[in-house]
Amino acid sequence: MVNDISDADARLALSSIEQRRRQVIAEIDMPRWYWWGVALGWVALGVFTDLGHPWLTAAATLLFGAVHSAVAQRVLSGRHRSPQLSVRADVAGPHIRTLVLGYLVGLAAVTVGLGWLADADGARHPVTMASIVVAVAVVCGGPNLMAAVRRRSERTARA
Amino acid sequence: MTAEHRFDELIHQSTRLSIVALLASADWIDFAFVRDRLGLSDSALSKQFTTLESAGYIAIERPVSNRRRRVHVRLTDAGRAAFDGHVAALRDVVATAESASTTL
Repeated sequence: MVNDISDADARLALSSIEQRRRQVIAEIDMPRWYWWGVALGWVALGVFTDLGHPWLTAAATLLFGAVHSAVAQRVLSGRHRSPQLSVRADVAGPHIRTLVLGYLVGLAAVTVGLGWLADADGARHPVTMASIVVAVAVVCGGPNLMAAVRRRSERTARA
Repeated sequence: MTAEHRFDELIHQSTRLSIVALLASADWIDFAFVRDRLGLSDSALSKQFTTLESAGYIAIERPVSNRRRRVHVRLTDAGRAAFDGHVAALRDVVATAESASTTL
């Protein structure tokens, strides 16, 4: 049966298969609202920190962490952006969760660094300023991070 | 796991190949997603699903979410094995043609 088709037909079929696979890979993403939510929460934490009440900062941090972990259960895999499909774990790749959490931890370190710099420069609200800068990085960088994940999935699919 | 290299005539038909290729990358896909990506009518897609379901290659489920009835389609283990074998067979054809052209 294999001999019944030409290599041109086989190439065409393989190309069609790859095109369909790319259509599923295009659905690997996290909802925009996740990045906006993290950014707004980040700024709120910055504002609370600058208010200078440690108990308020601690409570806000705990609340942010609790809400994030509840939401993250579902969205951090990057496989369920659309309610119309669930991307297979081996197609999405195993590292999305680690990558996003690593990105956020890195940004937390950047916030602390920027906060110190702003404080040393005599800014009145150093942590708020630092968190606004980082919130912009979250909203702009998050979707770019997921685009990189999709490109990686496509390369893996071709290999 | 290495798939058995086996050309599958049922899967090779272009519309069914597209359907199975989409399903192969997902745990499940909604009927509407497949219909929209392939540009098919509901009836044309249902017909292809029936053919694939009769062969045991796909399973159709109808969960109810938010009071809406949905149609989720997924590849069965038999369907996945057949698809993997078909892809391997297609690659064999291409590899054979390439090795023939290099030896000429």
